[in-house]
Amino acid sequence: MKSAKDIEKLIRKINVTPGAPMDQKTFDDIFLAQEKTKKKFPADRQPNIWRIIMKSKITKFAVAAGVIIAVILGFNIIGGPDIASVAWADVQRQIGPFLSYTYLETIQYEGKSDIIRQMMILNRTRRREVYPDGYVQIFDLSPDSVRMLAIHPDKRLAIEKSSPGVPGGNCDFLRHLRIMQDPSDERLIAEDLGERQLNGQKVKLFRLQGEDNDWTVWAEPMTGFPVRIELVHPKKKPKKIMTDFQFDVNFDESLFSLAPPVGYTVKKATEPAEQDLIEGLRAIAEFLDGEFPPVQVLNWNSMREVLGNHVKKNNLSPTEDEMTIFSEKVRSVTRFVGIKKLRDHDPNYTGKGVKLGDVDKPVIRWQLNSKTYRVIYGDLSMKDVARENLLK
Amino acid sequence: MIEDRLLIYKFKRGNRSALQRIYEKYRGYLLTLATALLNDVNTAEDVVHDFFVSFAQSTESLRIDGSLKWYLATCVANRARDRIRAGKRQAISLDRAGPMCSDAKAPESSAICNEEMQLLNAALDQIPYEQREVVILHARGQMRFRAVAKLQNVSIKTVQSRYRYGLDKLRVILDEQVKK
Repeated sequence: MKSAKDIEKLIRKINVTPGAPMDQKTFDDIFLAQEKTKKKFPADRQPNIWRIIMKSKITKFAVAAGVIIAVILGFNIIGGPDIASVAWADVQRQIGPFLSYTYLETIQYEGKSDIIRQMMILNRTRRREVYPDGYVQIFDLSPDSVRMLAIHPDKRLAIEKSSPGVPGGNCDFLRHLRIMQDPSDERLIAEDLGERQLNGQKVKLFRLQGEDNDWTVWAEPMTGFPVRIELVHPKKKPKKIMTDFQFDVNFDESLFSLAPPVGYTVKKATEPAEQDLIEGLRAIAEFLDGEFPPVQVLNWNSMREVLGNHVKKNNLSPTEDEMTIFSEKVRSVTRFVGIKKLRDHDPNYTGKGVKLGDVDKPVIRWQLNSKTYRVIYGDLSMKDVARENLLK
Repeated sequence: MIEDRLLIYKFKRGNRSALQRIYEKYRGYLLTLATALLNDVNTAEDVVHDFFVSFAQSTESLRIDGSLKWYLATCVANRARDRIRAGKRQAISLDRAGPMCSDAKAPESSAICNEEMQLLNAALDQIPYEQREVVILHARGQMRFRAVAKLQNVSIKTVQSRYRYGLDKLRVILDEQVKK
């Protein structure tokens, strides 16, 4: 005698396999039906990356250059009012495997104009940045072959930069979210703030604390793909906002070519030399009334703040040309120190409280080899100092 | 689940491969349900085919509350019921469907399985359609009682009762058939 369980078991065994004729007929008919529907597809359902691109000057340049960006997938609009929302684990699962992607990045500084750029991430080492005025930066951060191409369409100028010996970097910004999955670390547990509206679109809101920044992530409630990400340092002011994400973008690789565009003047940017560093330090100290900056020179934001405050405090009104020349000098200092840092040459800025002309007061040092450091003093003299003497 | 959400999303944007993937993923499941409900493979194929054609045209209007699988099962079950109500049901046995057992590998087990299926088919045909629908959708379709209740527009308790009565009747019928 059969039990109810036996009957259920038997029912679960029912299995009917469709034959090839059914498949072929159905495929033909459903694709035809879908095609008919497609013709009625409204234009506003197209991936909005096109709208971003086509509205910008950059696009005209890019299109003129024969650039094709084919966006094969987008995940920012979806229906279903009662669909179950994603959890943070779904968001991480979605962005877990690397997909090429693009987004619009806005960096907000208090009291400053926003910096807006479109970021295109081809893979972990290759990135293209496009600015509203048409300026383009292309990076290849492959280990030991770090290169960059800056394109100024308005000046028809291309600047090539390379940094041999620099260990390379990672262009994939979302990696920061991918690695936030240590369940034992309470900071990495995303706070689920539920469903919200963002520009008329239903989204899921998460907040979590990263190593350096507080992250807020608006995710598409069905797919879990990020719609908007904001990160802000708890103490520092700048805020980074990422929007208009598109994933799995079929980029044309030529967008990431480091070959200067045909017909452009090509300049090769050289690394700042020690003399550039000294001249840069002198310019900064003179600008700050004879004092070296009280902040780490590598921190460009802090440097901007110090210099900006000095301009305000003293009612200075430098001309645009003066500012351009001065900015280049400041940048040569930050670049010099930055490159030393990337090459693990142990740079150390100690200029806080040091005045221009101070003898034997070190301003900056970096490692020449395992036994020796090179030191620049307040009077901008330079000496090589044995490691053990440096420690004294 | 995530894959289904992506498929829906892509399908709603007119993606052909998403539609193909949805069809390939669920055609067997839906054909099995339709065949079990209609007791007719040919009609079941028509139902599944017609449903997918209609589904392919629904990019604009598609709204899915929850599982894609259950949504598809509900749509096919509705169409199967419509067919029965319209009197288009034909008395072609489920055993014409060819292999019906998922575990029918060896010839011996296949023979036993087909015999069991024929008995089950005959038994299913003897119980009220509302009970048959609940039994098939819950036991084979893995739909929750709540989803079946929504489909039948009755309470969960009613659905649970129909399921229990359905199984009891099937058990009695099958036992009688074995005795014969």
